[in-house]
Amino acid sequence: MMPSNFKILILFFLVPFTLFFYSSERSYAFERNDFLSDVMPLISRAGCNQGPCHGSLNGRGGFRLSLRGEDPAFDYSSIVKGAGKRRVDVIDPEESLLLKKAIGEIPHEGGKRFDQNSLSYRLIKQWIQNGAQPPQNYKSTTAKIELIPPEIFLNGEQAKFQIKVISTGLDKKQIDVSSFASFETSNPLITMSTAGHFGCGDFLEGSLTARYQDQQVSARIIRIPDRSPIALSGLSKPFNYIDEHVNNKLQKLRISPGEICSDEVFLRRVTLDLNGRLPDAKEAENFLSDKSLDKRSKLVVYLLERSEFSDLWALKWSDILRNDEKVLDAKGVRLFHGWIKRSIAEDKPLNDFSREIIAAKGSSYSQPETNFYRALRSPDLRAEAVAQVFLGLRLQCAKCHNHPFDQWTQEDYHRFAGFFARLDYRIFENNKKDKLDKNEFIGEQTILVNRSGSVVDPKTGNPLEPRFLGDSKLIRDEDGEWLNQLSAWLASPQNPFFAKAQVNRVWFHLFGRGIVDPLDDFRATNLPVNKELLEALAEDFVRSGFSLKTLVRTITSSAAYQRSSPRKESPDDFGNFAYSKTRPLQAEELLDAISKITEKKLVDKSNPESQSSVANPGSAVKSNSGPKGKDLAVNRFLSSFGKPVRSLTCECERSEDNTLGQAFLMISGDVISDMLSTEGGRIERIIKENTQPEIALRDIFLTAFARQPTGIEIAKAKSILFKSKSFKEGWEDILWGVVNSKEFLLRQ
Amino acid sequence: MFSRRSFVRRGLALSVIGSTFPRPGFSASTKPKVKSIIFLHQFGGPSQMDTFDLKPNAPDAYRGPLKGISSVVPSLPIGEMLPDMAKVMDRVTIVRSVHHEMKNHNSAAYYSLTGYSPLTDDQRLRDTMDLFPAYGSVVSKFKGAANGLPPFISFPHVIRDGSVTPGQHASFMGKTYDPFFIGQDPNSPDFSLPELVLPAGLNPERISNRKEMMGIIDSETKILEKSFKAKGIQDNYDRAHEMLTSKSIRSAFDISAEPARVRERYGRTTYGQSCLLARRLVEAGATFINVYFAPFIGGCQGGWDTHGFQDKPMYPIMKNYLLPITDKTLPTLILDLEERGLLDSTLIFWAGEFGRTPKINNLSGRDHWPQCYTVLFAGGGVKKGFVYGASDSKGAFPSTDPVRPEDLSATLFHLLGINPATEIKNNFNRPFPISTGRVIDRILA
Repeated sequence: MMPSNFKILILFFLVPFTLFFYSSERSYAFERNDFLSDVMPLISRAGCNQGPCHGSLNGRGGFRLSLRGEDPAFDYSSIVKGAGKRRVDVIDPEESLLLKKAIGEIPHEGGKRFDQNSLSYRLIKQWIQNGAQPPQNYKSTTAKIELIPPEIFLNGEQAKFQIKVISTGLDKKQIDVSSFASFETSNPLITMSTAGHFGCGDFLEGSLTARYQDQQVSARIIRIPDRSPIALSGLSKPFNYIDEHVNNKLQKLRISPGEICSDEVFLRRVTLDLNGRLPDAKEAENFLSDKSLDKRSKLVVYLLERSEFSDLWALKWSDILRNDEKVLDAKGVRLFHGWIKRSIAEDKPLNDFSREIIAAKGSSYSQPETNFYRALRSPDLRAEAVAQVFLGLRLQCAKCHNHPFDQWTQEDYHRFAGFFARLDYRIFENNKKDKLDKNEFIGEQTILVNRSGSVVDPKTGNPLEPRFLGDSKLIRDEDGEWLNQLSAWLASPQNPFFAKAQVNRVWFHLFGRGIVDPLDDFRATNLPVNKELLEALAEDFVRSGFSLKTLVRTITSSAAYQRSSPRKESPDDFGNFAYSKTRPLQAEELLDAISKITEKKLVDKSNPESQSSVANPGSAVKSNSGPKGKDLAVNRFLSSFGKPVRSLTCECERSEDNTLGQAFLMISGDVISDMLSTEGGRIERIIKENTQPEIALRDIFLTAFARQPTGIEIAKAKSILFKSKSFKEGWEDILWGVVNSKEFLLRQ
Repeated sequence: MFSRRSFVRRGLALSVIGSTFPRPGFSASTKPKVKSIIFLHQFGGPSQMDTFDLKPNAPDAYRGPLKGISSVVPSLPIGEMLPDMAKVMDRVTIVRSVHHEMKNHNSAAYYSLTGYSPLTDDQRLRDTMDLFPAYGSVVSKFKGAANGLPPFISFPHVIRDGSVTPGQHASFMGKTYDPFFIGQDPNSPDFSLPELVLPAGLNPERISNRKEMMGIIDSETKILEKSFKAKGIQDNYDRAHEMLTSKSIRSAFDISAEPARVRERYGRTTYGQSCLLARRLVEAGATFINVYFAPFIGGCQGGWDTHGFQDKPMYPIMKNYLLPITDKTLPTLILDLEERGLLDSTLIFWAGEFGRTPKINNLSGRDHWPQCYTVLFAGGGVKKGFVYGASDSKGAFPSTDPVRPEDLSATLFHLLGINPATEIKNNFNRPFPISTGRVIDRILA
């Protein structure tokens, strides 16, 4: 590892030297004066074709441009031929509306875009003067663009930096296009003074994206804070390779990470993260009194083999695979959930798991994995879901226009959707209760593949042969098995997206934040916070045979996972995994946790699956015979605390927001009142068995917090108990306090 | 508190930079014209020809049995079943040229509640998190709470046509901006908010025991000092407890404190008392209120969906139920607000999801008609006794100044001082303006 200061030095020497090679093309541009290479980039650079401006679907002020210049032919005709040809005036160029609006000479809602003596003004004016000629054709002339340097480290005091955009043309010629490229940044504190010269305020990390013609590229900018380097000794010794990568980054940013958390915090954290439940008092006692050095890894192995592990991870997969009673019937939901749960319990390699879902055919009852395609009923929805869930790519934008922040074109989107064009389903029976509801479905279906059918190009109406994402080869449909080819590509160890997307998802669930964040939004302009870490995890994951359990064990064995939460929070620390993030229990976990503390079961006892809401297969908790009002209250509780209705293939559908409604549910809601004050349960047991308050409290605290109560807590509880009208009321109030404490509602 | 740096780091948006930027964006707020908006949502789709857009000269097959009467505004006759409304037409603006393409209740109502057209015209349009938020949720985000009241309150129904109609909550903006929803009937003698009522057997001492136990655990772990999340949860507990104990807030919801005379004046119906509750909440400082006329589209106690199906002919329902309730309630709300000096700072917005077919169908009813219908504004920020837009001779299509639901939403946001171009981001982080329409400048006072 090269010391980072040394790296900066190298950059300082290298940058001017490298830049020297590319002569400025400003003078050349006046000679060439081309619509595609000069005029359009400058219009983009002025921001005219942004979404809120003329790039909006309906344009603005009667002037519409394609979003970020993706359709130069349209833009040419809009600029030259639109508005009664007043936008460009070849006789008297200075009278062109395009120029007069841009320099603010006449009122313009978007304000002044450039000066009269700017390069943009002079060049566009010259182009108009020369007759506002169209290009020979509208194909981009750029093969790729690069940023020099590709990554920027700034030291604390450095308030300026320079970056160059170098384009390589289809003719292999390299030109400096810094004066023509558009720049965007993830951070408003980075501002551009002149072409490629930036100033920056006080920030830690950001990224900068440059675009030119149809190309874009991003660079990460890291500002090393003006604080003393942290000593290597201040970083905990790496437990495994994860820590080497995390520590490298922390050292670069001079962030001191948190200490390794206490056994109590670790036990509660890992039991929630791996089993979606609180540890039992007995488990807590055993773990805390265990003196062996490897007790944390023993605990992880124990939790991985519990059935709650597959319950919890089947819940997560059921969310994003849209296992929902509204569009799949109750039987389908149960079978699909069972299939997912079995796959997780037997640690089926995640690539095989995904392959089976994508290549699924047959009955929704005998081949439960086909339910994925029943929830998603068009090639577009299937393509979007597969890209998002399995590959970490959000293609949605590219359906209607080229993705504004990524490489994906509209053609990429529709060719990918083409894989699903022949997928069809046959309905055996549909006993839906509401004939008018196109979503509802009750009955068995078969997923099958038709002999013909294709997705068509939305612009030309011609059929499109499918193509893998990021690949140029068209895929022939051999024996009607496009989906077999797609699933093989996706599950292959060489797939460029799959392993990274999956390790990032697992990381997200264990850390509350992905290495790429949002976790299913990998793109050129959303760089991973720690690229080396992501790559190392993905490689290890492939090597392990795509084993979820191995991955979870590796991550939970790292020091990074075992850190304490910060004494004072800063988002930078979470972004770089210096501390553990405090986050709320998921809705189902919370309900089960309250049920564990009060020893009250919520729903129907005859239905074992409904005893725990984490283990419940569907998107709503349903009891077979319980009173309907109770089901409603429970479902309202779960949905208030963020349980998704599973109508999207996005983790973002599960909410972590805290709300006033939740506070009312916990203060005066019927679920909590029911759990605290009805007959039976823990309180009745304590009173019947005449348990010593200290002993009862110890049990409660070990279950709720995986720790013993403090002296102050015991004293407070006892005083409440003795001033209450009855022990029953006293214990109710104590338990209320326990389940409403933030330590209970949150996982640290 | 977040440092400036951390605040900036949290932003996900790419900002554009260039020679003369700030971003070509738009400021979030302008000067508000009103403090509160009461949205009286008329589920089912009221008939424009029998309320505020009469066509006395249309052919028989169009006209229907109801006649017009003149109102205090000479140029503005309205339906004969609205005599009290006729007396206050000098306080309202009506827009007679609203139109869109959604023919099914759920899709059209979603459009009317959010200002965003759904992608499909689906009778059972599903309430999913990728759809747009209710107006009140947007207002919650950009205006926040006043006087300890939740900024967006809705009651007394969740509207549904076979499945829950989308557009009644915050959707992708996050649960923080969901409405404070009251699912109780304000006309019922035991009306009370379950949230503001403590479970049986809970007295103030027990509440304080509970809070003490919670507090001692929180302070032993110092968690409130360490974690924003914990602090956020505690803030909501504090707000909830404040609402539980605050006299002014509890009394705002306590409709029984209203004199019998006033309660009668609004009409002893669920809708009438809901409008009265809305007035009490406006008095207490609420910002955005959705009052839903009915939980269902039609029938004898439902909304305005008067096809004449199932032996329920349209005009008896209009005469005996829909129009009398409207004539009892709407003018009362306008006058009551005016008498209390609140009409200038409050806007009433009366609108359904569409209008009804100009031609009477063979069941003597009228069917769905989004091609042209009428909505009504009354109160602050808009003209008085004013008509905007017109329909053709049969009430079938806009003949001048067509208006779309997004123009209505732009106007509502503008009147509250929120720029309609203000951006929100959906769950794919795609930016959208809160309204894609144009403010209807000519109705502004």
